[in-house]
Amino acid sequence: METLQSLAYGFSIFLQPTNLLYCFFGVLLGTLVGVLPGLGAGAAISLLLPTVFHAPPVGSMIMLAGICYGAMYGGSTTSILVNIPGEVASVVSTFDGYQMARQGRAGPALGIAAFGSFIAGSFGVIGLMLFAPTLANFALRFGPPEYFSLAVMSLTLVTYVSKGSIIRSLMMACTGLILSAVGMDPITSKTRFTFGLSALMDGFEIVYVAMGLFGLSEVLINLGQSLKKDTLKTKIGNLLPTRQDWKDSALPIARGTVLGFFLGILPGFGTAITTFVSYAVEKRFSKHPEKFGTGVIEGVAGPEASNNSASSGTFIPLLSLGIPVNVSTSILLGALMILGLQPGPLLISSKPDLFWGLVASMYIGNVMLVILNLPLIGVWVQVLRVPYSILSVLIILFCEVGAYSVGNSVDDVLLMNIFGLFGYLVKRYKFEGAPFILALVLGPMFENSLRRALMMSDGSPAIFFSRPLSAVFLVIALFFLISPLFTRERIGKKAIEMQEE
Amino acid sequence: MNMLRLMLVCGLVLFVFLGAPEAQEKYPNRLIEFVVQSAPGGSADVAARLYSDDLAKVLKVPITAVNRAGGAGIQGVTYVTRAKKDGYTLLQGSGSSIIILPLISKEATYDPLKDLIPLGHFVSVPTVIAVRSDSPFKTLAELIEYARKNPEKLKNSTGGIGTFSYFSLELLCVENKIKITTIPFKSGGEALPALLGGHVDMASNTLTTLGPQMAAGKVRGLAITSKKRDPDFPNLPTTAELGYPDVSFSTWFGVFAPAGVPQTVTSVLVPALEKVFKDPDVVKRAEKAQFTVDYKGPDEFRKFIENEMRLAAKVAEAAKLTKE
Repeated sequence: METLQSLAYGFSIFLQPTNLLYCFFGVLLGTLVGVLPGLGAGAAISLLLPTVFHAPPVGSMIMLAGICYGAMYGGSTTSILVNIPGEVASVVSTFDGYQMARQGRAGPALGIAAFGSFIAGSFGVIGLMLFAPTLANFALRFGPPEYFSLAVMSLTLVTYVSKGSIIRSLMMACTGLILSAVGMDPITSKTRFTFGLSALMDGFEIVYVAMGLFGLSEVLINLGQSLKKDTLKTKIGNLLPTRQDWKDSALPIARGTVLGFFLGILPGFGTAITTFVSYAVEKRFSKHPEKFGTGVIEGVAGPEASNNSASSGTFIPLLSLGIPVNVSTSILLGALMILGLQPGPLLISSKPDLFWGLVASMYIGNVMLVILNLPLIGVWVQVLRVPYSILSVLIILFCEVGAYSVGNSVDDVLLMNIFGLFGYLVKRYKFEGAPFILALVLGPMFENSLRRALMMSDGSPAIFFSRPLSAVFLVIALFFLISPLFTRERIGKKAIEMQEE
Repeated sequence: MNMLRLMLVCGLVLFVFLGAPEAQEKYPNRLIEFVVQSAPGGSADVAARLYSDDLAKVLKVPITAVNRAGGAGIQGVTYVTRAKKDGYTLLQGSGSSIIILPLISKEATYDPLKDLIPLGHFVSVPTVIAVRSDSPFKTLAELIEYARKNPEKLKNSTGGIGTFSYFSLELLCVENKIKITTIPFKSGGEALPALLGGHVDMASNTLTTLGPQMAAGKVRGLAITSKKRDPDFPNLPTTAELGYPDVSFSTWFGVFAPAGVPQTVTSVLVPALEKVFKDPDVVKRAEKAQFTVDYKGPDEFRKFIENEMRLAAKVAEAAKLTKE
């Protein structure tokens, strides 16, 4: 079969020692970057861009790509261990992952995250290899009306990602939507709600908001309860997932892989929203939804798998059409241009060594990552033994530096701290950060797609229903909205009851 | 803490703050901060990386490219205009933030000619007006004819209303007295899927974005705003050939210093930039990345900016784009 031949060709390119080294370096750096809160794959790739001039093209691309998908492995580590997301895509892993760590099950959580990531990443590469052009063309059918419907569907999942009171989640979601309107509006290029502050000209950047809201606030909350914390921290159980864990995680990993892959190919959708959708889907189809948020493995397996297959998915539009879907792939596109590799529909046919070499490297890269990450679980778990007095200072340090690294601006650091205080209040009064972040991320997509779609249809809202894809997502949104009325298990109510016990 | 320790600490603190006085040595003698107005990987960033290493070699000091992409580039320009006027903070300015944004955004409080000194124009990327290859429009004239008969029916995608690609189309519309609805996206790259997926009828975007699609046969270019036909696309007529010589807006990048920088600094920078921008290696790299190198010295650059400002103001007024 032609694909297998090409793949063999790809391996012949990749298995040269220099390329292997580049790949290893890339995935190692990616894992590291994923673990550190704030420093994202985008920042790392942009720092390494100058090396692209001095290194062979295929090797550099292999390394830069390795950073992209490697970061998706590392992000879950801090989420699970200390409730601080290393990447925005790992915010969801804090919900159940951290609870598992508190119950002494950090090892299995990290293990399932690593294995789930491996399975999803590998399937993602297979999908990339076999279906790249077809899927890229499918992704093109998503225009502003479809994005609007996707955003509506994702917003209806807001109540699924919350553990407690529905009213409070909705309040947080509305706040998120309102705050997402701050900044320069891409349609009229006018700024809104910035009060003249240049720091707010582009709105609130998700990275430092998530760091402040989840990371800094966690430290602040713990400072008030340090005495009780220490006793919980020292319980470290066995390091590998049990048979039961595997059984429970199988379907979530499968669903997460498929979901992540298809959502990852959509330009602008983002791996973060994908993980939220995966979490909500797992909760919806689980036999015990009220336990989500207390430390169930499905809540870690699904989202972690989805962000890795989404990461493989983001390469599809990049390599088949030359369209970047997120920050990391935009930088990769820039790198391809600097290398003179002319990204576009002709890339695969005119530079088969690049495409197949990359594909081969992604297979092995995933293997390298799982081999790297598994033994490290034992090391990471020891982090829990560090006295919280030292750990909290380190966390604050990483958050402050990470916030600066986003845009080289001290204003961002200040804003992160403000969100940290906000997050403290949120946690203190039993509101939740998740609906807020989801709404903050979705707000721009929701508003801009709506406006663009209406410009396309000259003001007629019928466009959302006359286009089949858009209509499908709106129907799914309706299903998610209405179905809890018909199921006897009211998820939120049961969760509150359980909490009050 | 006893008296001796206190003295020691005070002494150390004083020592730190004393520092070394700013020696009036030859410029440059330390690291230069080079502000780039886009996120990493964006076109301004790619352009900067094509020559920043070479410039560092010529000036014999390290140059760090710092990305300040806020507010469609406004924050980068503002940062440089407010920086110390010692020549260690330079800007790679893009045409849209220097010329267009001051016209349409009240966040752009700088005056391009008063607050900045143009040092050297590097590259320009022409605008292409294109449709999909399965579109019924085979020439620009057909498109304009259709637009005349069906005002506001045609939908165009562009990378933002503050871009030269959009202004090129608007000028075309103003000159032909037609109305085309433009749907703005956040960047040229984001506007591309809208065209490819059939969600809009046409696109006004840069050659960098549309070039690969045209080469692959997915998109048909109707006109290009460069002065001469592009060698990669010999069948693509220029706007001048089609009767619109004014529609010549290209996206460009050049190096600026904040106004007030002493002559000792500019007299070093200008020849250094000229050398780098004319270096055959740099030119070759730029061409591989789809940029057309077109060096302009400070005087020519300044005249060019003044001319563009006049034309852009005309377009902004006719299209009713104002600061408010």
